[in-house]
Amino acid sequence: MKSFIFAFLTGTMVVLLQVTSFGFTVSAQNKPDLFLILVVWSSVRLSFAGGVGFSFFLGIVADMLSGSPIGLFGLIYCLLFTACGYLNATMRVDTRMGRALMVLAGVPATGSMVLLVRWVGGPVEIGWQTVQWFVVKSLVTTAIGLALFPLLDGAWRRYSRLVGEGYGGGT
Amino acid sequence: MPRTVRDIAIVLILMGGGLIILFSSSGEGEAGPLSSILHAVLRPVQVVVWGVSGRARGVWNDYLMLVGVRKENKTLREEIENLEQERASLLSKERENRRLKKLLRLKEDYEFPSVVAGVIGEDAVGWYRSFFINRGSDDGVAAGMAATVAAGVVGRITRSSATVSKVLLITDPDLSLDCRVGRTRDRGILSGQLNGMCILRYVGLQSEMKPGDDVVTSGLGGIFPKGLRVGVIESVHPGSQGLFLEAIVAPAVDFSTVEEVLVILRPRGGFDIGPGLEAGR
Repeated sequence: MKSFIFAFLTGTMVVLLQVTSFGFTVSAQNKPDLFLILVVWSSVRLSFAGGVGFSFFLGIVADMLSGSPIGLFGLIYCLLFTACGYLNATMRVDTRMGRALMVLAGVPATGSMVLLVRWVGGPVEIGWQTVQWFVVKSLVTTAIGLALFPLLDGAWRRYSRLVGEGYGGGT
Repeated sequence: MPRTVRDIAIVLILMGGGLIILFSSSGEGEAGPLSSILHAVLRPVQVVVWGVSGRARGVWNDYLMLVGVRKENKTLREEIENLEQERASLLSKERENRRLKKLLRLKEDYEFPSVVAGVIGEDAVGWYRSFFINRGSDDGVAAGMAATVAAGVVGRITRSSATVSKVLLITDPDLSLDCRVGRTRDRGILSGQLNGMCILRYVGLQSEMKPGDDVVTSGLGGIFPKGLRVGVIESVHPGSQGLFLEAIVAPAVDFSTVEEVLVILRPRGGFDIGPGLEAGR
């Protein structure tokens, strides 16, 4: 319940940031995927059941706020949460750089799954510009992730101290 | 000499001297020698005193004035800020007015019912090309309806709640629409590309379409009325299988500047493709 409240609060803030301020700073195509950053962060901080539910919820919100079919991002973020949680459990990548690398890989993974769904629906031209788009979006999201992770960690630490819940959690 | 006589003598001497001076000096013109000497002696003193007092007076006046000027400056700055804001607001309103006038003309051109909607947001994650408008099912907007501006087709409503609808842009690969090349009347299916352009597929090999030709909606499919401008052909090339021609189409609409759209409320049973909009143009 305590983790749920934290997840709800951070999720709400991220949604607000994603639909407002970032729209003015970078082009719509290259705007950072804050949902993904939160999914990666929750994969190393929240419990599996709580985190995967949270990721699915974030994905559904992303679906509602973008042109994707409802459920697509819910599914993608669940998969990414599981993959990141697995990586963390086996390789201990819970460092700032490790999480940044997971974001760096997570963005093209998300994009590839979106493209796959598009490709199933009809022909899609994939060229050099698509690669360029993926690279730019990955770098922008990773840079924002590097700045956000310490903030999220700090907020989580203070929140845990406040409500008396153990720091960490893992998957 | 008695004292009285001496006093009278002094008075007389002084009066006489005064009379001599009075009568010796002319009314106007050059000053007399005495006056000149006096002026020569007094001048430096006068200059210094006048200068110092003038400067002191100036400093005092400046100080008093500065107190007022600072206040006035603040007021004027505030006034400038207010005027600049007012100017920006008026310019924005003027631009909005122009756009709405264009939409109104477009609305009058259409023989279909339509509703003007404002753009309130864009795709949150950026993997799709869509934006949100402030009209929903309460205003009669439903999924499948066409969104246009004066320049051409914007996209199609894909989801609609009571007060908000989602528009998928024609540059999104998920959106396909039946189109014709305006000049040659060749038909094809137009869909978006990931690079922000559109591609017109399945055009017959015998087509004479060429760069610069307009692409318009065909009216088939029942979503978009016939004759709406979609874009301009940039290049033509054979399809991958060699069975059809394909054309890269630059959208007629600059999506980054779209602030209002006209949603064409689709009549039951779709549009009558007979007369269409092209006939009226």
